[in-house]
Amino acid sequence: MVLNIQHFCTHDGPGMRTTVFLKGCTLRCKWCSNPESIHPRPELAYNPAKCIGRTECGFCLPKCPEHAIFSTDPDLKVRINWTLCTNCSQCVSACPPGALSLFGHELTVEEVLAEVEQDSPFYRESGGGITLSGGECQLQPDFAAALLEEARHRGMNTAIETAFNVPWENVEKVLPHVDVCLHDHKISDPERHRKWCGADNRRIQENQKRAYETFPGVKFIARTPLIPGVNDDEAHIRAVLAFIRPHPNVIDYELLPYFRFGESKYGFLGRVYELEDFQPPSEELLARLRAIIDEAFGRATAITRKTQP
Amino acid sequence: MAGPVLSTQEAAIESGKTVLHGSVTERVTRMYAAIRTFGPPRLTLDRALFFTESLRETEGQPLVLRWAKALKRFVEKVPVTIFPDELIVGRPNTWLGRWGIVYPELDGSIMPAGVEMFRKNKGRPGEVVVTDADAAVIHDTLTPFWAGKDYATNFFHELPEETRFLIMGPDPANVMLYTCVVLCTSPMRHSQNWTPDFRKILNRGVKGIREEAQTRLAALNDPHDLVFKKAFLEAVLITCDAMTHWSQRYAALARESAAKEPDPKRKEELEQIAAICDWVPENPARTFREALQAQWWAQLFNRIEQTSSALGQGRMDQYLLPFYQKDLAEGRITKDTALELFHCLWLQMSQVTELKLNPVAAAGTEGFSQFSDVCVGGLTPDGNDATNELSYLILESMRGLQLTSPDPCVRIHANTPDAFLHHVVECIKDGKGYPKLLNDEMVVPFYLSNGASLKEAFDWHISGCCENRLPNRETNVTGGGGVNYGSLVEMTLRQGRLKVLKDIQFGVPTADPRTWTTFDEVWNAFCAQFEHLARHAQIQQYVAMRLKPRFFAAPATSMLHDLAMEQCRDLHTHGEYFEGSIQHATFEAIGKGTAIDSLAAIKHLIFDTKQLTWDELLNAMEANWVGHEAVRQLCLNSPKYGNGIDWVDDIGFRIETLLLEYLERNPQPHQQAFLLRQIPVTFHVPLGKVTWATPNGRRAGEYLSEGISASHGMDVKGPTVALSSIARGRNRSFREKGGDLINLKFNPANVAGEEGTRRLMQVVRTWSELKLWHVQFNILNRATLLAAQKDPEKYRNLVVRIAGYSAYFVDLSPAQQAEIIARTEEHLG
Repeated sequence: MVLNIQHFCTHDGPGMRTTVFLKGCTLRCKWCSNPESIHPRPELAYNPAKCIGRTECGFCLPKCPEHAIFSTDPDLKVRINWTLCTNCSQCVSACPPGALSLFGHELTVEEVLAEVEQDSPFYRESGGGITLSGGECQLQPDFAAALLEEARHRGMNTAIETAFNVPWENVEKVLPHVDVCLHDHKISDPERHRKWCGADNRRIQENQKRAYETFPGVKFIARTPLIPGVNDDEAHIRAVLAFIRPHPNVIDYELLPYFRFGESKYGFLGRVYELEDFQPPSEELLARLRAIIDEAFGRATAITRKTQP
Repeated sequence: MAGPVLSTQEAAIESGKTVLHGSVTERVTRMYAAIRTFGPPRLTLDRALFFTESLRETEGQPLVLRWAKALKRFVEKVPVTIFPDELIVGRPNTWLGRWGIVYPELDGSIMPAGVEMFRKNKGRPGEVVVTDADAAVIHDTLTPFWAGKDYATNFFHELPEETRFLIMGPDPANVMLYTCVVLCTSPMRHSQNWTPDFRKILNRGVKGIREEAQTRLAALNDPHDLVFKKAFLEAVLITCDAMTHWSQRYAALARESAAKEPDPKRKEELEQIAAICDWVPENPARTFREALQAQWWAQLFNRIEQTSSALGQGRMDQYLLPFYQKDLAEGRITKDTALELFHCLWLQMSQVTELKLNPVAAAGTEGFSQFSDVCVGGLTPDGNDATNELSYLILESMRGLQLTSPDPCVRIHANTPDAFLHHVVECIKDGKGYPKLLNDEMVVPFYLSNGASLKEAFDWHISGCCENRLPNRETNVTGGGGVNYGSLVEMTLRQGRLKVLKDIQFGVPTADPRTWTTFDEVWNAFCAQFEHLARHAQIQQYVAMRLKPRFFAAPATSMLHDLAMEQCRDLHTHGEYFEGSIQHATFEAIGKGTAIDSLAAIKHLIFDTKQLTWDELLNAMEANWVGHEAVRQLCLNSPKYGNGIDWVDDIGFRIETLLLEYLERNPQPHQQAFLLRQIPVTFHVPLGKVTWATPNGRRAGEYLSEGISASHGMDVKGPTVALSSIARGRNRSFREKGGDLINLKFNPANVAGEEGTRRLMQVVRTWSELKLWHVQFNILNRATLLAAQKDPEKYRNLVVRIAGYSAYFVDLSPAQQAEIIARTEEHLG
């Protein structure tokens, strides 16, 4: 179940990357910028800005078997009753402007790579390749492993972005095909992790440590999405450093400053964004925290942000 | 949160700085400010007046001799002026600011209408200052003499009726308003884009050329040669003397001014100017400064002689290097004084504008584009990397100021050093749209397939948007013809008729689309419409080639060409083949993305998915989509070129192959090729104006796609996919495959910092590997462009990329401004 394939990404591993977002996640981080990636099945999304209204169009209205689409507003645009919607997607093909669309498609390894390989001339120059992201890409271990294995056969550098909140057997399937593993250290304290991310971090940390030790050839890059008031404290950064520094194959630790990327997408899915009052961390704070990391690694780290699907 | 990331140029505007980078002396800053505050370009009429005066007196003589005498008359009578701070001198006008020449022998019949257009634009983009006195001269002196005698009028009269109809429409009296369906550019310029061999002036001096002409003249003995070659050689002698004379008048003025100059420093400068102008261009240049002054004389003289719309300055980093190195070694200059001299030359060039009297021509070349290409980098004639210290210095000199001219261009190849590419990309990131990049990996094979030797092919020069020249081998100097891709689509669907031309039968009466049941039938009608228009585009070209030797001569340009000198012939006589030359005629096609997307929408919506019937599509387009928004949305959201969709890109390949096969089947005599070029300048805007709604969802009158780029905003998968798609839509297996143009636009935030520079370098490397011809970048915030529309005064120096050239944003029409804003902004992840 693929959510999206994003070309020309520059922050998801070395060189120019093509990032494949897989759908479905085991965490529920409140700051999630890809809410459409959480559920493992296709979901309807609606962007009212693109709707041209029931006078010019209105083709979707009779298509919905659940009568979840209606139009009563003076602007003539349609609205969705999200509690009735079953994501059957019958309305999507009836929508000329593409205001109604589906998040998530079943694709084969071959189909994904055909799209990814559009970028192969650029990998040659940049040392780039494919990155699997999500959602949680290790939730589809067989597909992810097959995709990465074939990508490697075709000469690509392979990377994944993962939270590691999956059974170890999944990790065992995926990581043998990975060159670079970008993985999250969201919050150190298990209970606070549960509060903010919907699950504690015990299994995550076990997997991380075991992965570092089991796969010495993989380059691991630790990351923290820096959320103001949640994990932007020095103690967390130092705890992560203490966790990763004994392992020489963890080659870097990056901070991803929080941006309100995903906000509009919550609306498209008929959901509410809970972090409305949050602001991105200040430059001063970032600089201070990065200095701590620099010191631990003995070199500079760069400002990094994550690619959005 | 911090504000948006600004390009260097944007940051300078916001902080009120005029100097963007590095070392720019106060002298240069003062001159720059004076030139920029002068305002819109002003018409300069002396060239027209003195040419007219002389040509009137010499009627009946060989044309090349008459041209030389007119040049001589001009240099004898034009006022000479040196402005404070100038180090490089010489101008055809009397003010420090932008100037533009009119050439009445070219299109004098429309001068009154053109002048009216310039004046009507007062206070708006496209304004050209025409004083009342100038208007009176045009009205009383120039027009009475030239009406009916100019090239353009006679060209239209000489066209076969059907060809004329396609170019100018049904009104036989129309000599100004093109239909923009079959294109012709010969009435807008004497010559196709040109790059003279400036090395001859620098290394041999006018004296050397004069001696050659003298020797050849003395050797003439054959009765045929005495009739056919003598006049040319005599014209060269007069032209050489005229060049020297003009320079010596400046020397005299400089000496005179020096005598009166109270400031000892300026006095010394004026004495130096006098000494330099006494020496060059007559003698070979001895120093870097003399080389620059001689180069300026040569290019200025070329512009006095004629307009080619694009005057390439050649490979300046190559031919100036010996002068630069010698001066450095002997302590005559430093890097900084060399920079100042470059700035002085660039400021002179920045005052040159190409004024088009014809409203369509003006709309097609907005921003007063004059294409003074300065070529750096590339390969040496022996095939090694040619990058040298001047390649760096020339680019560095372009970074300091917001200039639209000259237009730097870098030749990129597999072994372009990373260090140089880094420098190039940093310059691109300033956000002024230059340098543009051309690809040796494409152009060298192009020349080989057209009969050049490897040594010649390695030494090509740039000329124009993204065209190229071998200055001593190529001879074609007739502006090309071509077709409007948008009209082709419309005629395919309207049985050969065009809505804006009131549906008179224009092209081939192909069948009503409603009768078609396969996409092949659509394609066949498209081919039929194309062949019909293409044939007439070629016919007009031959008419121009036959006619021009009766109207134009160019002794100053010709004397810098090996073949012209060897055969003692003016270049304008190339209608009869120059033995040993490569004589490419050109064939333009504009709006490729529009055509691909339109045919793809038909294939997808009508045949493959059957989402629309012909009636639904045709009725919606007929109504210009009004009341049919749902149909338009289907068309807009149909698969588009530039997104890596094989079958869509394949339509682009098929279209290009159709055109190339036609041109291959219909070469010029002597097996000389017609080149396909897909270079819009700004013609995609006026060509769009005459094109009704198209099946890609485009509204009637909107601009077409530009170059071979995807349609505006339609390539949504990023620059890697867009470039790969574009590469797939090209067919580079024909010798007829000439230049094509790609625009990419990035937000400065996406290429910020060293990391951004590296990424852009990778994009450039991959572009080169994909064997694409050309690429250029706009790196600006959309917000800046919107702000500049609201506050043109604050942003009056904002430079943006158009099509193979940069222009001041505020000099562009609202339609062209909107086109720039609508270009897809590519994102790097």
